[in-house]
Amino acid sequence: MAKKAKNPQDTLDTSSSYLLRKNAGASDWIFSITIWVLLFAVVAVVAYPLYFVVIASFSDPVDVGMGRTLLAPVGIYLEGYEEIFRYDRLWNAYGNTIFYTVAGTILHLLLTIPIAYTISRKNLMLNGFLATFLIITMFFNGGTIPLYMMLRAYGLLNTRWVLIVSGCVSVYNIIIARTFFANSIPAELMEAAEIDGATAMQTFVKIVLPISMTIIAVIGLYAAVGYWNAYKPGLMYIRNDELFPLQVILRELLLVNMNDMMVVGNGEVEQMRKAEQIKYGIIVVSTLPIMCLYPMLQRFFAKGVMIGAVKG
Amino acid sequence: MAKKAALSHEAPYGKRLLRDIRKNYPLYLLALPAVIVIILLNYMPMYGIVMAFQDFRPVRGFFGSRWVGFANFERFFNSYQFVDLLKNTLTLSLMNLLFTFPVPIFLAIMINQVYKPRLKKTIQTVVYLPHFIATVVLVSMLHVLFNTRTGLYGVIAGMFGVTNPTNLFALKSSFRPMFIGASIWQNAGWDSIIYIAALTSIDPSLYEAATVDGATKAQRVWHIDVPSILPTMVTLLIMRCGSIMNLNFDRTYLLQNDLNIGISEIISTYEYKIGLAQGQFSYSAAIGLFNNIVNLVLLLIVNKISKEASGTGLW
Repeated sequence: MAKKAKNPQDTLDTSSSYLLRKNAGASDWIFSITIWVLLFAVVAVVAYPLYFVVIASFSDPVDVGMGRTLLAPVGIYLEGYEEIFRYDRLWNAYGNTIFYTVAGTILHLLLTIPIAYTISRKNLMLNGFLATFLIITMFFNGGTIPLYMMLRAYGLLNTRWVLIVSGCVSVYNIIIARTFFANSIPAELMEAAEIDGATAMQTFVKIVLPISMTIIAVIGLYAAVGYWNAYKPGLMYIRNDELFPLQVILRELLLVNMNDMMVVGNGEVEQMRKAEQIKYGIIVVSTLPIMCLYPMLQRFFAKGVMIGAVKG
Repeated sequence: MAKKAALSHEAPYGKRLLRDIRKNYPLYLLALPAVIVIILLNYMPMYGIVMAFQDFRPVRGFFGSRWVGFANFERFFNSYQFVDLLKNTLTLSLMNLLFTFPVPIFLAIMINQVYKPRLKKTIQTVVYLPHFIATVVLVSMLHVLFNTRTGLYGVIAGMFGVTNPTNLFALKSSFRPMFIGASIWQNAGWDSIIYIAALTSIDPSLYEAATVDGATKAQRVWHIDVPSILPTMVTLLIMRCGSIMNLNFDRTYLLQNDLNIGISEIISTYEYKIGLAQGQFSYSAAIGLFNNIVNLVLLLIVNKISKEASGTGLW
């Protein structure tokens, strides 16, 4: 554009490029429309099933079955929820999962953040060894049964501990935290602290940790979501009904059978009506904590991937 | 000073290491808890693989059990399930890779075309969300939504006059599409983050120059966006190829039923069933080790090929 004024020869070009540009305008227009349509479709495909589950959980199951609840709840019916709130086994598991999530996340942070800080320091001779030690576990593991047998040998099977310990370190998270420490904390800051006579421990606790809250939040959130959603450890290591986490009970209620819940109602129709709503309701109740926290914390969730993507 | 530094350089490795540890022991102490836990939870089970070569009895332990050499492996290779399991695992995994890998790339390029920051943020918030839904809940949602009477599927079929649509869960052939569909729905958005990050770091002057030269939007995407996310694509592809044998256990196991078990049984679910449900510990450990080794070999091959071909590798 700026060239045009300077060089008269470009005037000729401009006329032809004007034609090009006009074509470009049309193709840009088609391109943009296509993208908008596709993006709208993507958002609808992702969001609508979730929305449908929520409205179906509040609606009269008869209306749901007739297709009257495609856009908004119809014939508000909450007896299914009453049944859910009365069902102790679900709430016991809910409490268990809250406990596993809180305890597990704390342990996860206590283990992950310090080692990540150590391997982020550049002048340590053992760091090459530590990095290899960690990375091997990403590409090779003992397998299901050897791990099971080790947990059994440690006496952890069928205890609360096993669900806290499963997932208490993640090499992937260590690498994310290490990258953060290596790239976001100025080395001068740590050197200055050490020149001022701070021990390595004091530097870590008083200087580094306070300015690393972002990474602590990111790793903590990943760990918490992991614990909340974990299914396999509960399936494999727990036999005692009292200790089951939420996901194992959910699977029993939603996918295996619901007879256990002793749905009471006047006659078979009423029972089925409730049973239908209970399925939708349980999905809502069990996913609620994550769905409530998610929009507020979304920026932290995505941040972890960004930090991890930077090669350190 | 200079002399001392030179001296410390010449000092034997062991001596320097000792000095390093004495000087930095607080930092090493910080790493110690995680190291111990990783030894207990990752390395001890690797040692536990010896049971794959034993007739392992829990009462006798890893030391007292009888050694049987490769008998467990021979049994697995000769069993009638072996070919089926390998075929099921590889088919599901390769199909899953083929269909799930490109989706985040398209999604990222599309999201990158949205110039209004608030709208972009909203779209991102929505598409990332399914990543945080538990697999149990996801599979349950599939069951309620695809219920032939009361689910969205049944309702919509009813609108088109189909009163008794096929129950997709009773159909063997619907297992793979359902697995892959669920996998795309759950992870495509989340997996697009890394591409979006790569796209936002592109120098805007490249687009300006291209626009001045008369490039259309589509041309700008093809000639600027695609080449700049190519290295990310290659790295992620290698990593995905390196976990070909590690399909999502939860999703597979939870989508299995008696009717689709012929194609839905994969090595990891079989390993679990043989080991924990049937108590054939050594046999199961052998199956797990086989799976692991195949995986590792694939990773090494793919990494090597990629390094030769494009210069990009994991290490």
